[in-house]
Amino acid sequence: MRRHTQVILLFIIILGIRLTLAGATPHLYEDESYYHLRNVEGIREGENIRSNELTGRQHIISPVYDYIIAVFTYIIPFSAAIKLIPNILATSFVIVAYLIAYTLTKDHYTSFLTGALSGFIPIYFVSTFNHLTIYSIVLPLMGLLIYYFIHLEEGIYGYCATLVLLSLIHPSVLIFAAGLLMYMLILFVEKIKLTQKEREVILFTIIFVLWSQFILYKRIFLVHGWNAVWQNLPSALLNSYFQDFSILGAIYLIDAVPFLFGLYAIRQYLFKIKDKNMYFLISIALSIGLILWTKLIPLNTGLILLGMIMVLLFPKNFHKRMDLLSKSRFSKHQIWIKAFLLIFFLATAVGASIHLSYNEIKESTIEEEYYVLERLNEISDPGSMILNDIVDGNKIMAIAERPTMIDSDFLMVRNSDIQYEDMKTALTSPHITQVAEKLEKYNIEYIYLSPKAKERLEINKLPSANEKCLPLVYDGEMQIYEWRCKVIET
Amino acid sequence: MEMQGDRNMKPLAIAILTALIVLSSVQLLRGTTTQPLLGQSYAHLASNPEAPNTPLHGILTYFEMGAQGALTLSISSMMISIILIWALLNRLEIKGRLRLFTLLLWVVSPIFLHASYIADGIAIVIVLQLIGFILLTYKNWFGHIIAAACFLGSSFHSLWHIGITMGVLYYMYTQRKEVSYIWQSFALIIGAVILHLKTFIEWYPKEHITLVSQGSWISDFGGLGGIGIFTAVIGLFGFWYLKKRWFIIGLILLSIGIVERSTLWYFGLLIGYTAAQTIEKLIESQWALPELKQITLLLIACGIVFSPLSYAREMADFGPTEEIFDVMIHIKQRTPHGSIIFTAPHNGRYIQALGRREVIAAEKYDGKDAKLRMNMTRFVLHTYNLPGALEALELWNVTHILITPDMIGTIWEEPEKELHYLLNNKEHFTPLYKEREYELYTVNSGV
Repeated sequence: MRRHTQVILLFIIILGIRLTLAGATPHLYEDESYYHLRNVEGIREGENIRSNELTGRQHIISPVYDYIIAVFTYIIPFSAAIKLIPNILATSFVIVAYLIAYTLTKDHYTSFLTGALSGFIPIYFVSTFNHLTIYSIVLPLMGLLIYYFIHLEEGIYGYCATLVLLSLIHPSVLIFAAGLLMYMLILFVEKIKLTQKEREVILFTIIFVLWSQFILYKRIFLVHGWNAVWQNLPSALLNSYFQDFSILGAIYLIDAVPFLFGLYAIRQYLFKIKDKNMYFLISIALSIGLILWTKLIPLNTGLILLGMIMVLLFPKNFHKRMDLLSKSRFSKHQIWIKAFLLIFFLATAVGASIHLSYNEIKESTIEEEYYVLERLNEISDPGSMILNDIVDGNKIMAIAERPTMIDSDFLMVRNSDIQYEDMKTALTSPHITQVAEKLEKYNIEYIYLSPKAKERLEINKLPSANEKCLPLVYDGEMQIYEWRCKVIET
Repeated sequence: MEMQGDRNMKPLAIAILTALIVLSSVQLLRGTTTQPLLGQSYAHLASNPEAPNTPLHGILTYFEMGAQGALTLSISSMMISIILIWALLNRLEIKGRLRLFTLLLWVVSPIFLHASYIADGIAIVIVLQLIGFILLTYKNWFGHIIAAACFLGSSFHSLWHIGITMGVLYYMYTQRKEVSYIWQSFALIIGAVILHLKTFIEWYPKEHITLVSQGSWISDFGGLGGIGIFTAVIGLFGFWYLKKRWFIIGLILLSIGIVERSTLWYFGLLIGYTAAQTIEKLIESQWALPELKQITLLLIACGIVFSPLSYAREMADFGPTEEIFDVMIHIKQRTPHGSIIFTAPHNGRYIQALGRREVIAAEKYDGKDAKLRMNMTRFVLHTYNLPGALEALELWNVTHILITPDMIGTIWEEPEKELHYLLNNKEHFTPLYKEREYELYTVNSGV
C-alpha cells in the first residue's frame, strides 16, 4: 500500500473512532461547547455574537472559529456539522504530525507511528471528541505553522496564511512567537547563525502577532490590566484553573511514550547533538513549559500544547533507536520488533484515550440535563434570570434559552470576585435572608443545580430551600428551585 | 530621502507638523468642551498646603495663568522640546533618516501627548533638561553654568533628575576625559543640597505618604509609562546594533523610571533612538522576501501610530465633563469660603482646583497625615454607623459631602449603601444640590 494511502487510512480510522465515541449521545459535553454552539446559532440567525442577547454582556472573542463551523452547517445538517467538523479538524493534526515527522526522519514507519500517536494524545482526544472547542483547530494550525517554518524555503506563503489564521482565532499564537524568541536565544548560545529568511520571518511573526493580538484584545487589557492574562478570574477560582503541574499527571494525560521520548530528545539535542530543526521544536516545548510553570495558561490548555510538541519531538529520537536496531544483532527481527512496538505504543495511547473518553461518556449526565433544561424553558418566562454555578452557564443559555447570572467567561465583568462570591453564597448558604439578598440583587427567579455544580460546591441540595419561598420544582440528579418571595426593605 | 548638511530643517518641519496632527487628535476626540485641561492636570494645579509648592504653581500663580495658561505652557514646552531634540541630535551628529525617525518617534509617543495635555510640570522639566544636555556638548564655561541652572531648576520637580544628569555627566567624562565634568557633578550636588536645604531639614525627615494614583502600567499604554508597546519592542531590537553599555544604560533608566515615573521619558527618548536605528536598518536591509519587508514595515508603522491614537482615545475621556464643571461652580458659589468637602479621593483634584475648596483626601495629596486621611475616608465611605461617621466628620471639620455618579459602582456596588444610605438622615445631612446624580449635602453635626 502506498504511503499516502496508509496515512489517509489512519486518518479515517482515527476519525471513525472519534465519531463513534461522539455518537454515544446527540448532545455535546462541556459548558464551553455550548458557548460556541450559541455563537454558531447566532451567526446563522444574523445576530451580533459579541453581545450576549440574553444577558446584554459584551464578549471579547474572535468569532473566526464559530464562523468556520457555521459555514459548514449550511452544507451538512446542523447536528452533524457540530460533531463532524470539530473531529475532522482535530484529526487533521495526524497528517500534520506525519509530515513533520517525515521531514525530520525521512522514514515512513517512524512518521506513521508519530501520526498515530498524535491522534491519541489522551488529553487532546478527550477534550475534543465530543466538544465544540477551539482547540480542535488550534492544534492542527500550530502544527502547520511548525511544518511551514521548517520548510521556509518553499512554504513561506503557507506560513503567512497559517499565521494570519491562527492569530485571528486564538491567542495561543503568542506561545509560538515566544517559542521563536527562545529559538533565537538557543541558536545564539549554540553559536549557530539564523538564515536570512528565518530572521525575516521571525521579525515579521513577532511584529504581526503583537499587532494582531493588540488590536483584537486591547479592550480587555484596558479594562482589566494585568488580570487579563488570568482571564479576570475570581481569586477563588485561580488556583483551580491554573493548577500546579505534576509530572505524573502529565505523563498520564500526554501518554508516557511521547512524553519520555520527548524529554530524552530535549536532553540529547540541547546538550549533545546540534540540529536546528530540533532546536526549533525544543524552543517551542520550553516556552510552553515555562508558561505552564509560571501558571500563565490553564493547566488543560498547557497539557494539550505540551502533548502536541512532545509527539513532534518523539520521531527523531525514536528513529535513531530504530537505526541502531537495524545495525544490531536483532536486525534480522526488526520487522517483528517494529510491529510489536507499533502495537504496544498504540495500545498505551489508544487505551488511555479510550479509557478517558469512556469515563466521560459514563459520567455524563447530559441526556437528563437536556430534558431538565428544556423543562426549565417551559416553566419559566423568557427573560427569567437563572442562578447557576459557573459550569452550567452556557448550557442553560443554549438549551433553556434563559439568561444566567454567571458563566465561565469573566472578561469584561467589572467585579468578578463579588459576582462569584455572591453566587457561592446564594448556592451554599443555609440562611434564607442571606440568600434572599443575593437573589434580589440579581433579580433571580430560578436556581439550577447540576450534579457537577453540586460536586464542585460540595452540596447535595440547596441548603436554604424551603416550601414557602424557595421550593423545589424539579427533583432528580438536576434540581430546579423557584424563588417565590420578595424582599421588602423597612 | 536626501539630507543636505547638518542643518537640514526638513526633519524638524515634518516632526512639528506630525506633532500638531497628533495633538489635534485629542481635541478632535474630546469634541466640544469648555474644559481645556484633562483630569490629572487638576490634581497638579490644586495646591496642597502640606506639600512644598512647585515652581509650576509659582509660575501659574504669578502670571495668573489658570487652566488655559497651564495648557498653553505645556503644549508650547513640548513643541519646543521637538526643536531641542533636533538640536541635540545635531550636536551628537546623528543625521539623515535616523534623525527624522527619532524625532517622529518622539512626537508620536504617548509621553509626548501626556506631557502636552497633563499640566504637571514635566513638560518644563523636559525643556530644561534638554537645554542643559545641549549646552553640555559645548566647551563653553558660560554654557555649562546655564546648563547647571537648568538642571537645578528641574530638581524642583524631582531630585531623580539630578541623579540622571550626574549619570550623563559621568558618561561625558568617560568620552571626553575632561575632569570638568566631574567638578560639575559635585557642583550640582552642592547646589541641589543648598537649594533644597529647607526641604531636607523640615519636610523629608517626617513620614510622608503620597496618595497619587499611579495608574496602571498596562491599561493605559501611555501616560508617564509612555513609550508605546511597539516602539518598546522595536527599540529592544535596536539595542542589538549598539554597544552593550547602552543596554545597561537603558536598564538603569528603566529601573529609575519604575521608581519615579516622571523620569521615564529619558528611557523613552533612548528607546525612540534605538527604535529609529532598527527601522533604518530594516529599510536599508535587502530582504530575501521583499513583500514580507513591505508588510513588516507597514505593520511597524501601524503599531507605532496605534499607541498614541489609543492613548489619545483614552485621554479624551479623562474629564472633567461639563457636569463636573457645573457641580464645581455650585460648590464654589454655594459653600462658604473655608468649607471642607468630603468625597471620594479621585474627586478631590476638581474640588481643589475648580471648586477652590479643601478636601479630606485628594488624588495628589502629599502630606504627613495622608495615611490618617485615607483611613478616615475609607471608614466613612463604607460605614453604616451613623454616630461613628458623624464623629469622624466632626473631627476633620467636614462641612459638606459630595456624591458623584461614578461613586455608585466603584465605591458602592449600588446606590443607598453605607454612607450613601446614611445621607438619608435629614437631621444630620441637608441636601444642598441634587442634579444629574450629583449630590451635595451639608453636614449638620455642629461643625
